[in-house]
Amino acid sequence: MEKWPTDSRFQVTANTLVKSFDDKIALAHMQTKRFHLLNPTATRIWKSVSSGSSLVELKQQIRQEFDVDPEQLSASIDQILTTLNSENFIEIRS
Amino acid sequence: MITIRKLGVEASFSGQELADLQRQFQENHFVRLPNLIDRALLEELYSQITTAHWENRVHDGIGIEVCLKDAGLVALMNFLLNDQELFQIIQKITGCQTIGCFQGRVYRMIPSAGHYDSWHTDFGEDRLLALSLNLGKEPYQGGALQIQRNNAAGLPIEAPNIQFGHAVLFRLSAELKHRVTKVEGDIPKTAFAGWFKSSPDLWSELTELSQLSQAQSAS
Repeated sequence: MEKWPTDSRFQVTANTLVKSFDDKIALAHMQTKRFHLLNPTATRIWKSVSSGSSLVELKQQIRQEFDVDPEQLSASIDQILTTLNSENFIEIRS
Repeated sequence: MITIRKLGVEASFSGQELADLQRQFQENHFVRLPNLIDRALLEELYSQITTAHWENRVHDGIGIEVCLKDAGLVALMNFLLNDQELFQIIQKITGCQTIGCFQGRVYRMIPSAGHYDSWHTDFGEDRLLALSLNLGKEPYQGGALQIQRNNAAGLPIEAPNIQFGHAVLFRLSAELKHRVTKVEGDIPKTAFAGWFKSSPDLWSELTELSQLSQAQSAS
């Protein structure tokens, strides 16, 4: 799993197609043609990422909303970001 | 104006424009949706379509055509059309019941290849409306959508659609039949066509598309 610097900011890649509805999000990739249906945690992360939050801001925001162990939550966030990045739905903003 | 973009659907209508579309649909059973997919996005899809493979498809008792064989690319096209905001706009224009999903295919009718389409209704199996989006850059001859009441005399309503990226949205009903006329000349007709259906719902359809893409990647 990737360990992202806390000041990392992500952006949606140019090949990503997004559908948002009823508080759900689905992604598709133009080149790989892979699809991803986000669970509620991943949906929350996606909204922060796509609004330009840094990793540290994202973790602070989500910590306030989910009543779980902070370390476990942080690991879950890193895992989800790693998956989204490895599937080329998001990339580090340069 | 409705535009399907990578990150969602944008729509802007004045009250008058919406009223005009509603009237056109009521009177003619179809409306035109120009430039339905963002041009840059459509060009990306088009470049993939030009290198894809096709397979023969026989619609029993209705017609013969070739269909795009790339399941992943067809799933992408379907993903774009499966949009809640798009469904709500189309419901406003047509007055149809709640749309659950869109299911379509990319087909091609090649002149002199024996491809044809006959009168049929497509009604049933939860289908509410049909849409055909032109994916050809060169204008083809013939290949026009015709709509007519069952057992009606006289000329059918004709809805030609030769502009790249323009779509025709039309009514499905037990009382209405439609067909695509024979394509003439040298240029084939290529279109993304399908049905807006009341069922399955959007999430179920996206789940199905996701599973299809996983199966394709695994194979």
